Amino acid sequence: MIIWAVPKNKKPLNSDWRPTASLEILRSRARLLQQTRSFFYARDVLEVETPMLTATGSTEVHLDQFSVSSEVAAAGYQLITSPELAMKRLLAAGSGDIFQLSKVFRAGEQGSKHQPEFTLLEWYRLGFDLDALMKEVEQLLVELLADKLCQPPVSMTYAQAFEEPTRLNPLTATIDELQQYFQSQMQQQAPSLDDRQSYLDLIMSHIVEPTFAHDRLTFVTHYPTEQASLARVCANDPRVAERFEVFAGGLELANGFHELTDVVEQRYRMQQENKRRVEMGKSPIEIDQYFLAALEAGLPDCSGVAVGFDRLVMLVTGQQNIEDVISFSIDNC
Amino acid sequence: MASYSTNEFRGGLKIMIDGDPCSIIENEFVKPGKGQAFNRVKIRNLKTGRVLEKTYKSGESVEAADVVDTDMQYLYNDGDAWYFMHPETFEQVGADENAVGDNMQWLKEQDMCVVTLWNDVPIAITPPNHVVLTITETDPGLRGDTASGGTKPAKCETGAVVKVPLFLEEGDTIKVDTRNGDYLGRAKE
Repeated sequence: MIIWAVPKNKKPLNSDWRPTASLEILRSRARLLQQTRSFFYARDVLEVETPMLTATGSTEVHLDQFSVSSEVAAAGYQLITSPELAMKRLLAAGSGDIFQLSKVFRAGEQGSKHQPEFTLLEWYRLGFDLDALMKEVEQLLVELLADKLCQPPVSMTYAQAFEEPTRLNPLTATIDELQQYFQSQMQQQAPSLDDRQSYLDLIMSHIVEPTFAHDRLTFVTHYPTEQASLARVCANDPRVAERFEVFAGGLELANGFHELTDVVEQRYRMQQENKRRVEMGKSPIEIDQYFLAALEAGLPDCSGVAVGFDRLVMLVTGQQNIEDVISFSIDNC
Repeated sequence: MASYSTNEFRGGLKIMIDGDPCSIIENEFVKPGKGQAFNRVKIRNLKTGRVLEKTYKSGESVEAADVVDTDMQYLYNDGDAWYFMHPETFEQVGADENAVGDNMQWLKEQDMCVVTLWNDVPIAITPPNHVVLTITETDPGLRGDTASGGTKPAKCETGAVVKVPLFLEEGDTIKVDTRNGDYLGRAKE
């Protein structure tokens, strides 16, 4: 009999030593990594590597980071939830166009499409507006997904996508209206959530995204300003931000911004996020002063996007579970 | 009161929903990249057997249901309740009609069943997958007809009515699958 030495509170969810992905899929994954690199090398985009450890972290309200400590290190560190802040410091330092294939870490995210440790493909293009970047995302995805996408991509605003099945305007609907709509569609009471934004997330993820076509990419643009994150607010409509997402069916593949370069606005947003975190019972995150100093020094006008690389592998290999496209999962790592 | 966080959700976990004990059938983690995370679960209400869907905000705590499946021996029915005994402690419990439901037709004295207890009260009974029953009522057998493939209804000692081959007689013992009510063959004494 094998006795598993398991730390307290930790269950061996998968006691198998073998990889969770088949070797055939790992070979497909390697090919995709190579194709991705070729795509950017051919466009003269510099490959970079930024640290996975950070002394501070991300203030994002809905991302939870892992803390790392050691008996011999004086300071504690966090694992990055995204390489975004460090990559923007490179941009401010004059790197020019850059891309990175990075491991990122988000505590508590686990399911058929989520792992707490996963691979992001992130890149930045100087002087690109959102349309130009979306065009490039399309080129890359068409190249990688080739035969999986029979139809040309469609593009719609967040409001259009939301209104189509729900007949509710996401920019003006009240929490009450959103709750009632969810209840009538799902035959269950809506969970109690922190803010209007979270009710929009609830309906997007349960009702809107599942309606996106499987055989084509769906670009969703003009996210509500409350979800601007690190994107600029649209100059001609302050209710929405220069942010887009890309879906294949209901699977979220990418998230892009026309990057906010205004340091005052950026600092304010991070402080607001921390305020929200505290209201939600989470710890505030120390604001990354290196990042703000880089913005202060000047981030060139640019657009950037992050793509869930493991999900691309899922699409290419026809897998339904992210565990089947990574060597080992969080349950047997 | 014991509770589970949504990140402990997995198939088979027993939780309380609107005052009823439920069992999780499926748990799906849903999260827009930058947005609120949810656990979307499919659950079976253990009292009614109904399957429903429910969405929780991830990180929320949910009350645990004190539900235990116990192997117990069926003893007898007194008209109001069906009594089961724990084979080691000899403790007895009475299950009412709601708990026994359609499975009453498969309950044969001395058979081992799974009794689902919620706060020590039976809420569901699962009979063995296969039971051996004696036919108490059926049309006379067509002796020798083992090949025609025809069937006839046969009432068994527990009240169950099973479709059996034509050659079987009253007093014969048969093996039946309780999950679908199918006749499996003659029981060897």
